[in-house]
Amino acid sequence: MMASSTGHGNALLGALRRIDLRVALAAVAALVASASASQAQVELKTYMDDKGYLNVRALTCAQLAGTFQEDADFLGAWYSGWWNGHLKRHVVNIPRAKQGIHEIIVFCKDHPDEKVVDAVDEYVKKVQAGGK
Amino acid sequence: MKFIVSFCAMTLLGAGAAQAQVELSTYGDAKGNLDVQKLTCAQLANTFQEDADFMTVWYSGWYNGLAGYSKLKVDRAKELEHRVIVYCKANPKTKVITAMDINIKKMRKEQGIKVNDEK
Repeated sequence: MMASSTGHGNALLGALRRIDLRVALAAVAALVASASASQAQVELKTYMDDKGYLNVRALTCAQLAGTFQEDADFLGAWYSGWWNGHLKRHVVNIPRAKQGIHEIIVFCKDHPDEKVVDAVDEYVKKVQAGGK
Repeated sequence: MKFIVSFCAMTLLGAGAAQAQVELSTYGDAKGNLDVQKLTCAQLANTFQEDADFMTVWYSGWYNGLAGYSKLKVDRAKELEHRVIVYCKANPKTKVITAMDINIKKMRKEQGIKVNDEK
């Protein structure tokens, strides 16, 4: 009985150790993934020239997607205004503009080599073709 | 009793503030399109903080797009956003485009910024 009980105890301990190891491995994997994600996000100033200017015609989708969410949102609103100003349009539809920014950020995540201005251009053409 | 009175006062104040805030689309046409040349500081100040922030950044981009500039200085744009909101609170009858223009020119003068740097 004692031997049997000890045998069950050893088996239980072994199982717990295996679970512990799996939990530890999963935790390490999560930490590594989290560290990589943090490393991937950079501040906008990384893309500025020596005078502190960001060339909005040269910014790529990878750069937009690689920055912090707050900065990406800021840039999205700025680009929306810039695009309309560029086309001499004086109206804004806020819900539609916010939806457009969201879709461009999603598009940029899948097309890192595109320039943001080209992504905006493609999105606007798609919306116009859809008659929205 | 004092607690109840102050609680009621706080509730009334809260309700007043909530009523004062309206969605920006209120000032737009039937399709929700907003004429950015007509929007006043009072309208910007009376909307939700999130929309006011969005619009101020939008105006910054619009102004640069109209002028044909392709360069953005992020810290300056954020400083401008702050200044326009402060200016608008003090000058509710002014149009937002006027507030933008006044503050952009003021910042350029203060910081010795040359227009050609931004092209």
